[in-house]
Amino acid sequence: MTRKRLSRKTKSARRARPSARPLRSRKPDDVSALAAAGVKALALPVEPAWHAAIVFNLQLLFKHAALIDGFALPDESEPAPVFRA
Amino acid sequence: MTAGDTAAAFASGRASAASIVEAAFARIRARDPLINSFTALVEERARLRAHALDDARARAEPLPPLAAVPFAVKNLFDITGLPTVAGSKINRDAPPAVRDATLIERLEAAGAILVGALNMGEYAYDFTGENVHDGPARNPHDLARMTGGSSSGSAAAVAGGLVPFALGSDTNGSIRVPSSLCGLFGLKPTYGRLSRARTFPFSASFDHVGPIARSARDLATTYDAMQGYDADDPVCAERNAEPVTSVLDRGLDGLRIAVAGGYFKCRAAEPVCAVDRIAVALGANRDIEIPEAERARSAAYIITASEAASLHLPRLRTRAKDFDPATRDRLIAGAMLPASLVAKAQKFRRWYQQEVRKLFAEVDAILAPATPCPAPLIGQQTFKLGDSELPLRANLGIYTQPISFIGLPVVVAPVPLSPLPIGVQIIAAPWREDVALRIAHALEQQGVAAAQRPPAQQR
Repeated sequence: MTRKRLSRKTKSARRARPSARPLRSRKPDDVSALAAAGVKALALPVEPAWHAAIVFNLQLLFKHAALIDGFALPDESEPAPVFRA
Repeated sequence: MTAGDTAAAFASGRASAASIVEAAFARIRARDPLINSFTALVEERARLRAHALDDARARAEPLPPLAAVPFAVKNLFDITGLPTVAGSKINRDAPPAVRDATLIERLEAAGAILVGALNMGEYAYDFTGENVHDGPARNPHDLARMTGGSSSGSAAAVAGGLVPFALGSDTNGSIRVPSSLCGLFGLKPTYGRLSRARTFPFSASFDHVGPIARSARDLATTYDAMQGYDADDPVCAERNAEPVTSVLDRGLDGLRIAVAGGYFKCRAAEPVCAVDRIAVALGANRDIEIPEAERARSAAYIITASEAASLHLPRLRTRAKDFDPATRDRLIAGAMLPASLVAKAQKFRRWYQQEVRKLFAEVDAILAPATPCPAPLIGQQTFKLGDSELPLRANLGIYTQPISFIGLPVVVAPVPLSPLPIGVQIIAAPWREDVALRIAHALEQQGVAAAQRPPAQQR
């Protein structure tokens, strides 16, 4: 099937370009140190055997966060903490 | 039987409510040891309701639209007298609920009969349907395969023919993923449309509730029975009910329908085949790009992790060993995500919402795959998507997350491919559930979408 592609470029889309220097995914050692310190700061009773899986998941979260951090938005952008469809 | 068939059998006098309920319990006793969809039954309560309905019919009272239709709910809905376990071990120690969830009250007011509570992924943080405490719900189309999650029991019970419809919840895809893998119709309404009062939360700013059923009409009928403002849910919209059952037969009637391009162009055979079949049937010959969908998925991922971690922090401190390790480790990681990044994700969310809203000036509905594959094997850890081998648990929701992220209404229409079904998302503008349901109904009338019975039920 042949489909037409709808063109859509908007003013706000042009304004909100990825920033030049986005957050990089952190190195595993950095994330490991953050995880070790974080569980202490939050008083979480974490067993040593859980550490690797926590680091893996935190690394994955930083990978996703980097995509968001690298997206430039105007300073006036409002968050959507209480979302209305 | 569908919910509509069951209600008609009762209304016409061909079956009593008592016999309908007993037949449901007989099916559950016979089949559920294999499917593992139920975690609790409310037999006495159901029999009392059935007798009351039989008495009402004997007195020639007007019958409500779902009279005598059995249903069940994901076990994160409060059921009076039961602890709301939400798929966990920890919540089994919670006190019994003192009042039903609003949606159970509304369905019973419409004549439906609650028969039990259903298996789910722990605390809804799941796309697989596996549960270390209750065992996995099994896909009735192939018992070795996943149902999808986290509304695993809801889909398994309906696909297995145990109840005509069930309620689930959907934060990132938990109605749509199991509807796809079990070959069912599922409705995730607009965020704020249906009350979540007295349900156990997961990620509050994304949590939705809705029905899973065997036909678009059953989705519409049950959805209509549940609509309306509820002050007990702080995000429930102050809107009057907008009934959809009466407009289902309007057909496509000039609706502008496009196929999601870019990020949603799947590289696996089955989702592509399913979307193409539906697009051809609808004459949808345009592609449309949902801007920054990959980023939207990432933002949904980190907001979910953060909100869920906040919810469970007290339990992580006191009962960490009682979590499924796969849930626990993700929650702990979420607790350590910097707040600045979560706030940025919320800002991005508003930008994305405004961009996607503009698309609906050009089209009325957008088609996209519901899952990147049909039902994987239980225990499977990865799957192939094009040339990539991806972790299954984190990626079954790649096509659903960017949509629920901004609360758009979606109906999953099941395409009965062989050997396994797979679903397609029909995405509409906010508050236009009617559009998605009309399209799903039209596809069902054409025979393109269908909740095919699993092989065991065909024998």
